[in-house]
Amino acid sequence: MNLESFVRKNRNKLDVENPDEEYLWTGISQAIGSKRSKKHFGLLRYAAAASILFFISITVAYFIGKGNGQQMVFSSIDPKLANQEAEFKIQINSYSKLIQQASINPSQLATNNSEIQYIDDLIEYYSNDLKQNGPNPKLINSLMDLYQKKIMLLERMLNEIEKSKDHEKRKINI
Amino acid sequence: MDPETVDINSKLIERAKLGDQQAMYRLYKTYVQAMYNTCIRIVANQFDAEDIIQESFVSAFNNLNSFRGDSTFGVWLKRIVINKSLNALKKKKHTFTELDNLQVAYEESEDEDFPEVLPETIHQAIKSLPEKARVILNLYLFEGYLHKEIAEMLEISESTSKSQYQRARKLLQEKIRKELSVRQFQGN
Repeated sequence: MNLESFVRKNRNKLDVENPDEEYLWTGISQAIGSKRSKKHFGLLRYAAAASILFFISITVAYFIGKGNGQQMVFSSIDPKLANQEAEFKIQINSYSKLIQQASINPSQLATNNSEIQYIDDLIEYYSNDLKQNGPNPKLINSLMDLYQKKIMLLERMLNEIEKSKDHEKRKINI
Repeated sequence: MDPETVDINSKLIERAKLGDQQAMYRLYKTYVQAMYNTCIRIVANQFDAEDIIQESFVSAFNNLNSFRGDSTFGVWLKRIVINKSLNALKKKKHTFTELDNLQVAYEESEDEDFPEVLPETIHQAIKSLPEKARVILNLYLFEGYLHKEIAEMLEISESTSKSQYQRARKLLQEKIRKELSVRQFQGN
């Protein structure tokens, strides 16, 4: 069998990547909604944006601070896991700092702070569970998965910030 | 696509044309994975692919009135995704220049023996191909465009499309063989 025959035979199996469908849909539905309601916005939009900016700045600062303050839970279980956890924490802290330093309106970001809050709450809940009931492979995997998800979300926020900066630059150049 | 699916889709499209977001969401859920995979095979970058998919669906939903049903909704949408993916590459100053004068046979070779591999392996190998080769391989092999059509889309000659395709398939096979030998070595 040659390459072409192989691909034709297996074409349906080759779509292997699963996008974050809900995240993508949030952006799409907002864009569709904003186009429809554009005409109804006026000065009110700026007032609303200012209050959202204020609110989001406070929540970002709160949750980033909370993320930094989370305890290390794997140190008493396994040194390898503890190392992995420490690496995740370092990455989370460095991304969080970069987000804090970026002078950008957080309301422009599609990535929702409530997602980070939700992950933080779960990390806290699982960590407490782990402390109370001892090591459990499922719980450990879930915690590691949550750390990775948080890193992914922060990466996404940074990427959005970068793109927004590029967009601003382009607007200035025009 | 069976007639029943086409019928459901056409009902959804009619509702979406009237601004029904629930219908749009169902269309989105039906097509997002296939479109995302088409896109990421071309741009090979998660963040760019996410942006392109969002832009494509927004553009499709905002221009649903121009969809006349000459093709299926999926084909129409895929064309939007591919155009936006190619535009994104162009914006990155990527041009499909006439690269080489290699006289490469472009007919599909029948004698080679392509190894049985996991879909994930071939997907990752495609994403790691050089940009020009990757785009042409995807358009020809996965999306079924002719070299003549690819040449028009990328503003290159038909012979460049053919020679780049040959280069891409050779590279792809090398990458897959390498990957398989690494796995075999790790397995021993």
